[in-house]
Amino acid sequence: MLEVIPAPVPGLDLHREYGHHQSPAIRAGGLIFCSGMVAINPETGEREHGTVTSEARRIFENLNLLLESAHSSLDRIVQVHAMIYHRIEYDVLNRVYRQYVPNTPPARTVMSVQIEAGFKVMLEVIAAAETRQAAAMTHARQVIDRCSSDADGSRHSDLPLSPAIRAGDFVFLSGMAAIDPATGEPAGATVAAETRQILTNMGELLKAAGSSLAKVVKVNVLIYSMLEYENMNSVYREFFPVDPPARTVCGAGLIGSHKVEIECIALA
Amino acid sequence: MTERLLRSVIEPRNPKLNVSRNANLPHSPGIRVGSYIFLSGMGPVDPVTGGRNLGPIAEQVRQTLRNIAHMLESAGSGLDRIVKMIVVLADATDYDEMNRVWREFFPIDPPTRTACALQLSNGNGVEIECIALAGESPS
Repeated sequence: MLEVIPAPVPGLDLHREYGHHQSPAIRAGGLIFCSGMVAINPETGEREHGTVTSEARRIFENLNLLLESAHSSLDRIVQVHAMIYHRIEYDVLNRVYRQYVPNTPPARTVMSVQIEAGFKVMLEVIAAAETRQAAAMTHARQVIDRCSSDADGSRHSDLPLSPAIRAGDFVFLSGMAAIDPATGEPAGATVAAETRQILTNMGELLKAAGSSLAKVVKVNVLIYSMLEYENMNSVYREFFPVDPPARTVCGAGLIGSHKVEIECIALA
Repeated sequence: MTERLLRSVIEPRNPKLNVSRNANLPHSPGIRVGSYIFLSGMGPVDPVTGGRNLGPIAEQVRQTLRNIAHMLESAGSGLDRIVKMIVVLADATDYDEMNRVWREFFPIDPPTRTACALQLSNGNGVEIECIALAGESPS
């Protein structure tokens, strides 16, 4: 079962405020997947650009509101992708960060990426829900084989990775680039075309794994420049017409000549 | 029927690899919740000295993957139970070399993976994080 956690206060509805095609958080399989959060005023929805310290404080306060509305809390956070605009502020981030997770802090990876709208900090969080359905499915680790009979050209790579793995309650997908399934060659010249090709392939891959786009809980979009955000977003929303997954978008150096790369976690 | 979901910290048996404790950083080496283990991003830390092993990129990737194996084994899991990895390279041109080492560690049924190139600190050429299934490795 997949459940959308609505914005606990009006300002945190970034879909309404800024057209971001994402739910604030999704609860599924005992975990709460939050969209990447930036410093937003929870009442007015206004962006509050500041220092790494002030932005991180605001994010943690909002995260606290969001998680408590889902009967979880900051001390139940499992994993954080802490994104900062420049690595030089690593110590600054740590100083404010530790105040909010003083005991048994979450697993964390700090990444220096390009963040939307010139923000300095974005936190992407997975937290533990309070309880878990005892009857939930738990699959052993099962690789969705790129050599299976229904695998198309987009999965035929000689890279040492599996396109998808089903494990526990979820299906995990590798980061996908725009590949033409008929030829196995890179497809699409623009961010919009690449996004369309990737999400089309993603739908097929999820189907092969016994899941579907409608069961996606969390999406990470890597894009070569955040100036192309809207070109991605406009196509993206066609693929998730209702209750879109939690999502994080950031600007990062991609491997190869691709402009977009998308990974996701879906319910099995 | 619902069960209370426990959240616990995972630590490496080798204290030299407990980077967050040794450097007083605000993260845990790993967290277990339900059927999953989430590890923090790891770099090429030398398991004997606790310092950084900043040799050629292949050796850095190898060292980091060995450290991940140690961390998972400390929690009763293992490399063969990893489901998802993120690889951050300081230099995108190291991608092929990283893949070469990857094949040594994951000859069959490799984990899902996303790679990208970002600025790293302390001279690290690579940083890797993963999600694995908890529980005993079959081998």
